[in-house]
Amino acid sequence: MTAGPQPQANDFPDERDWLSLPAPEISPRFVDETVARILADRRWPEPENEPASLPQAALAAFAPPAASPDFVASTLATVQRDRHANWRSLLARYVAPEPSPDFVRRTLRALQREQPAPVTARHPLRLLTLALTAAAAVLLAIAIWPTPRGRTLEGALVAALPADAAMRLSPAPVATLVSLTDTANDPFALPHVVPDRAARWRQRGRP
Amino acid sequence: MIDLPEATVRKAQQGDQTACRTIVEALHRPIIATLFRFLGPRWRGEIEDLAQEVFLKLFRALDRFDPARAKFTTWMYTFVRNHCFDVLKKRHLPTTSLNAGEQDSQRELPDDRELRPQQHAENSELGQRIGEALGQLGEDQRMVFILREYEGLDYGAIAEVVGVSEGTVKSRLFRAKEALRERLEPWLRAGA
Repeated sequence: MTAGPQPQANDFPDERDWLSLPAPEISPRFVDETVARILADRRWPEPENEPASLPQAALAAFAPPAASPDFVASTLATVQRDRHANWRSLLARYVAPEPSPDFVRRTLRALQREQPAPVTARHPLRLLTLALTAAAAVLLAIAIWPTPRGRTLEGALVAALPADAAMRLSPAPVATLVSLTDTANDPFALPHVVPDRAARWRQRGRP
Repeated sequence: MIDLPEATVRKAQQGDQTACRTIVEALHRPIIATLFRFLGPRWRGEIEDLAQEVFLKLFRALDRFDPARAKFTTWMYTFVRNHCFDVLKKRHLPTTSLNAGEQDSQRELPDDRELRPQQHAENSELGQRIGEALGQLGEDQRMVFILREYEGLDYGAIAEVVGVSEGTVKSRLFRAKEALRERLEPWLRAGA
C-alpha cells in the first residue's frame, strides 16, 4: 500500500470559481423547439385536425360475449360469501383475553369466602314488613267480614248490657239515685224514668 | 352511459339484497364488455371470473363510495380500469393475439344471425381486425378509446377514471383514433 498525495483542503474549487463558470451555449431555436414539442404532445381534437370517429357500425363488430344466464345470481352469491368471510375475519381479530391461573384462583377463593348470609340476618326489615302486612290483612278481614242481618254494633252493645245500664251509667245524678233505690227495693223493677233509646230498643226485643 | 339512482346505491351500502342485485344486473354488461375489449378475445374464457372479481372489489369498497365526489358508474369504471391493469401486470399474458386462430374469431362473433352470410363473414373479419388493432394500442390509449367510443363516457368522467387531465384524455383519444384509422383503413373502406 503506497501513500499517495494527501488532498489539500483548498484543492476543492471555491464558490467564486463555481459562479464564474461559463454558461452553456443555448440554441437560439431552443424555445421554438420546446414549444413545438409541447404542442405536438398536447394535440387533441380540434375542428381542423380531429380524425373522424370510426363508424359505430364497424366498432360494433367487435362485440363482447353475452354473460351466462346465471352470472348475476352466482355473482350475488359470491359477493354474499365474501361479505360473510370478511365479517368472520373481522370478528376473528378480536380475541378475548384468557384469565391467568392466578386470577382464577383468587376469584374462586373470594367466592368461597363470601358465604350467603341467612335471610333474617341479612334483611331484618323484611320480617317486620311481613308482620305488619299480616296484621293489616287480619284487620281488613275483620272490617269487611259480613255480619248477621240486623245485628249492628249498637244492638250488640245493648244485648250485652243489663236493662237499667243506661240509667245507671247516665251522667245525670237523679237517674243514678233512682236507679240505686229501685235496685235496692226490687232487683227486677223497671226504671221510672223515661228510658233512653237503647233501653227501649232492648225492651222491644224481649218476648 | 348507465346511471343508477342514488337511493339504490345507498340501500346497497346498507346491505339491501335487492339493491345489490339491481347493481349487478345493471352493470355486468358494461363491465364484461370493457374487460373483454381491453384484454382481448384470448381472455374470453375468464371474462366472467374477472367481472366477478371486479364486483367483489366494488362491493368491498362500497361503504367508501361518496356520491358527492363522483357518479357511481364513473367510480365503477375506475375499478374496471384498475382490474384490467392488475390482470396484465400479474399474469404477464398478452392482451391480444396477433395470430388469433379461426376458432377465436368465430367465437367472438356478435349476435348477428339476421345478417346475410356475406355480411356475417365481413362483420366477423372486421371484428377480429378491430380487436387486433385495439390490442396493438398502448394500454392507456386503449382504455381511453374504449371508455369513450364504446362506453360513452365524457372527457371529464374518463379523466376521473384514468386519473389524468381532460387534455391528456383528449390527446390519448386523438392518437388512438389516428392509429386505429390507419390500421383499419382497408377494412373500413371495404365496409363502406
